[in-house]
Amino acid sequence: MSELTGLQALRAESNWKQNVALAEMLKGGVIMDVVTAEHGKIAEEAGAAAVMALERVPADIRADGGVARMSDPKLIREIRNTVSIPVMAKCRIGHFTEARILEALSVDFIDESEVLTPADDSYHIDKHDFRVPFVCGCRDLGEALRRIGEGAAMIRTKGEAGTGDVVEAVRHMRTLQSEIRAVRDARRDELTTMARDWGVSYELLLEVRELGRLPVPNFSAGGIATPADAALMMSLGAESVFVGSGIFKSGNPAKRAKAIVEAVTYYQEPEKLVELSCDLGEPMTGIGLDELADEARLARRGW
Amino acid sequence: MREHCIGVLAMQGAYAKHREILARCGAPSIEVRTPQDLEQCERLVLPGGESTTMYRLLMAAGLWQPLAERIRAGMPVFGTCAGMILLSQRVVEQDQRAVQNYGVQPCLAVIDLEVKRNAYGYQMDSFSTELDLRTQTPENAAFAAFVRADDGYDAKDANDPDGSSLPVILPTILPMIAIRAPLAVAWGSGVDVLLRHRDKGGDKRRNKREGRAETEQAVCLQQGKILVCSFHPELSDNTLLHRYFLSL
Repeated sequence: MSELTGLQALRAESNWKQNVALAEMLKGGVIMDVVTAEHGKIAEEAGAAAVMALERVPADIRADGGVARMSDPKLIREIRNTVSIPVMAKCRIGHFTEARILEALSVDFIDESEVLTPADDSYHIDKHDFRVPFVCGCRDLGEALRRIGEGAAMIRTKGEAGTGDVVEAVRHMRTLQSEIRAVRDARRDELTTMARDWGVSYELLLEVRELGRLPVPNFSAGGIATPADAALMMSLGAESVFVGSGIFKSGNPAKRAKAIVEAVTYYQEPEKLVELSCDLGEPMTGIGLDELADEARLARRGW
Repeated sequence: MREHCIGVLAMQGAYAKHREILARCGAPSIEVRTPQDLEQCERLVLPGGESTTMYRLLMAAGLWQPLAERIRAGMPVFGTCAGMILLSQRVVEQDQRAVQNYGVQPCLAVIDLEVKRNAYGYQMDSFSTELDLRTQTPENAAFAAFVRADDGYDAKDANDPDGSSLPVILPTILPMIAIRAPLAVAWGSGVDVLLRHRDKGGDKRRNKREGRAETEQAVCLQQGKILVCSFHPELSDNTLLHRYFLSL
């Protein structure tokens, strides 16, 4: 056996390789939030690459207020039994027992998500300690690499979930991409300062510099409501998109879902996007980011 | 059709990884999303991803029929994982509830092969292992010869014209990364098994419960110019299967 140490050893001893591989398989696809088995069916029929099983979409979590927790396992199991594509579920930031429950339920991916109320204000989950893969949110490269250091197999930029406003998704993706470019072009002696400023390990910055990208796939979430939004995020460097409230809070979920799936495949073809954007019915009403109080911003959860 | 143009079906999934490996084999490729893209290609890779998603996108793009026709007319194709599912004759589901909800997954029916989708279970049953090529007995003579020739050993070495004094260094290990993999369950006499993996197959927890014995699973098969494998050679550094595909 090779004598691996540190992060490489943690990755070798866990399922990291095949967990990143599943994330690779989801590229160029759409991961849709579903709250019932019926939604799951509509999502799979529309061509979703995976579904996120949860009790309430972010727009409703926002409207209801209170504490948002892991969904009832019975509901997740019902959705799991309805679809043939991968099923994801959310646990609270730092709530490793919710994560253990989801792992025991054999979900295909766990989202340690800021959409739920954080359970720990100091620590995220040690994701190397699980066999099931994790996806985590980020607003910039530092946050992405802190989660990858903890073992996340996929990163999604956070955006602002449940708003239908894409502005934060754009901001986070642009920030992440420009910081990756900065690392790629940095002299090696500059990495130490970047590591200090961003609160990440030198080792992970070295990895990003060599690869010219994150070591795991990078998807986009939080505020995508139209085919054009999805195509915009792909053009900015997202490798797939998560659509939460945008589909099932709209007038014609089945049609919108299918259009968003195709928009991700044909994001570089405006003529195709014209067709896909036609006659989709009412989009979700949404909340503009400028109407949102600071404390109502979910993206600020996690660090 | 452009000479030597290799296409990678880019509806959804790990198409970029296939393009990287092909580039490392010295074979630039194009992404195929429309019938016009397909017309340019001499050969095509169908990547891993979600077969249900790809099927729906292929139908929406009007690519399903032209694709089946091109393959029947002899275009070489290489399908990995979801790509293998789409190329097969018949798909069965591990979980019968999927059939109740959606019916049987349609497929291109170009290789005389029946596959079981999600045969190993969920992501927790995905695995990464190594196939030892020295222990393999490929049914296909051309593949066996290709592997033997691929040993980093040049028989025409001026100092050793017959090669007798050189050790044969076979590329003995082929990484096998299987992600929610399909399983080849039955195939016709025109299909050759190229690689096998000793495993119980099927749902791992059920195997444990029922104490099922290990058997050999066919994980890479060929019929004429159609090559399929249930795992992901595009996710490893090994280019053997891609180079073999390019030789077809």
